[in-house]
Amino acid sequence: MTTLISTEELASFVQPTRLHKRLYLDPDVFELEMERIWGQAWIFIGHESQVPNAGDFFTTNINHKIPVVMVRDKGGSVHVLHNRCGHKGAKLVESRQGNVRGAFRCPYHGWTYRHDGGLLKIPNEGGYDGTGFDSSDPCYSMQSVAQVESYRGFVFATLSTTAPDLKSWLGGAVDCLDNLCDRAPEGEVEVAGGVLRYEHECNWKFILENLNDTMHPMVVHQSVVQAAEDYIASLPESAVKQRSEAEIIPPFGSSYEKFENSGITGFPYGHHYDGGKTSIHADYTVLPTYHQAMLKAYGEERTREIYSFNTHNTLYYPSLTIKTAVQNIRVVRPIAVDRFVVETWSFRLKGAPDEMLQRTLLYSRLINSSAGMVGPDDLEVYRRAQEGLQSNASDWVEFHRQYGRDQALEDRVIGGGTSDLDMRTQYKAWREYMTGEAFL
Amino acid sequence: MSNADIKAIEDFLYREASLLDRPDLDSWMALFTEDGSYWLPAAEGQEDPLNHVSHIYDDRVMMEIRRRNFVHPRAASKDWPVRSSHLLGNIQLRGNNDAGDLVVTSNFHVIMWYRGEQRCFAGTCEHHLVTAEDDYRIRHKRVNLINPEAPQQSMIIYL
Repeated sequence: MTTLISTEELASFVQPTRLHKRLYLDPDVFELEMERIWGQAWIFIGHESQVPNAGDFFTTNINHKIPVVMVRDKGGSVHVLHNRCGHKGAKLVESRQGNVRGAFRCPYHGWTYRHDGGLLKIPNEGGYDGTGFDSSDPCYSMQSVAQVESYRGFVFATLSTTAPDLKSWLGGAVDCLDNLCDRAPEGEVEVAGGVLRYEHECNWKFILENLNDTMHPMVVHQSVVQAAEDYIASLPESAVKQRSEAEIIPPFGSSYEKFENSGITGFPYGHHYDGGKTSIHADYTVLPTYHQAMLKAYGEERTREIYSFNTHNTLYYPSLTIKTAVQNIRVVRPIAVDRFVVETWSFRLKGAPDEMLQRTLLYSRLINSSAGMVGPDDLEVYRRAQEGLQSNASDWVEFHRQYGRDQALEDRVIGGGTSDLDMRTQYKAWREYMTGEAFL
Repeated sequence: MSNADIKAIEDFLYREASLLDRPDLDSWMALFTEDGSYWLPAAEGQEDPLNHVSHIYDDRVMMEIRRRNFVHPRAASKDWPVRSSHLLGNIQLRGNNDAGDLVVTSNFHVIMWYRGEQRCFAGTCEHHLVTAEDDYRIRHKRVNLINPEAPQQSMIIYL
């Protein structure tokens, strides 16, 4: 990839309290992001529970283009391989998920590969004798992505050979992955109940900026909050108690004060979450049968501790955002400078009653579906920004809120829940990745 | 079932579709029974609306919240006009289900005008109908898209 944008110019796009509009509009900036952010950061691929048996695979792209396949081998190890035949480059598997019994087999010339990507057999192999072809050369195998690691079943991969190990990269933000898993009585989660895919006709960074932008919910989601609150108020109390919707929708209209008090925490490499002591998910009813299972597994004190760490959205920049208290995740994949797809996956807490998964799926459907009453209003305002930024009235987008008031601790930065700390955190990482400073 | 009955069922489905075309959600909701539901599954052949995620699974309470949201002046995604054209065909009576409801399937093509674009949806509907006085009511409407697993754009109205 050659580019006419110098490192100095890229660095100048991110200033302490403002961003240049080319971050959202310029296809050359987008291609560099794919190379330097998506090509260096640990990218979430999938969860080990999606490939429970030997030969099970799950396919995705690791950035806007590069196809990869997550596969479990006969020994139980999970690999993330380039979905590319070592011969002429054809994609080996096309379906989203499935099982390759013995081996991957290329549909073009029948080359076969083991589950770990090693070349197994080439048909009519004698034709290569004496040609200098070396079947043991890794370039003729299904090559592994440069680094692959998983944390509590969450599989990440990076195209970078110099990225730090996954645990170091996750840093203190790992607390949220832990909390999600700890909310299961058995301490493990598994993907369940399918996926929602939502096409977004705007730049991929808008959704990441929106996650912990707590100045938007009471404005963007005012309509659904009022529609739900007004109608629910008209129903008999006994009818309302049966409805999780009555707990899920109204908190989107929480006050500025409540969001301010939830706080935002930022980490190296752009990760951040809002909430902690409290969040818009903190007041959900605790199902008695679930509570009993938790008490049995953890005891009173540890159970309270697990519940009391209550976050709203946690971003593992740039590809994964999780809701610990809801048990769903969203996976981001850019397609072009003005297009990306979000996948919403839901998790079963192992050892919890089925009603917990049903509430998670209800949440995914109500809030994150393309036909929901929250997601479409978010997307609408992203698209307004994508279109409005074409104006030459200004080249800049501002993020001054509570600038200068962030508090740096040893491994994290904390600030007010309505601050732009989340913006400062992720764009610091943007700048470091884009200028080559991230892994120095 | 007589030809007159079949014609009455077809007329009912056309009437329902035309209420969505306009759209007139108040009148559309009134076609459902009190325990009526609308389901837009997110997977081919999806068996279960509760243990698998869906694009939409609304009972009358959720329909009413959706209707109120739809006409709210401060929903940015509703600043755009939404108009649809449903074309129904292949209407077939499938007999009665265990609850005694009449099961009717139909194919649909919907062209929707939204956000400056014409969008296409296609698939099969399954209506569970009950007779009410001289008319029908919908106990359940299931909309099976031909591409339920595809990334979808914002869908801000029922199909």
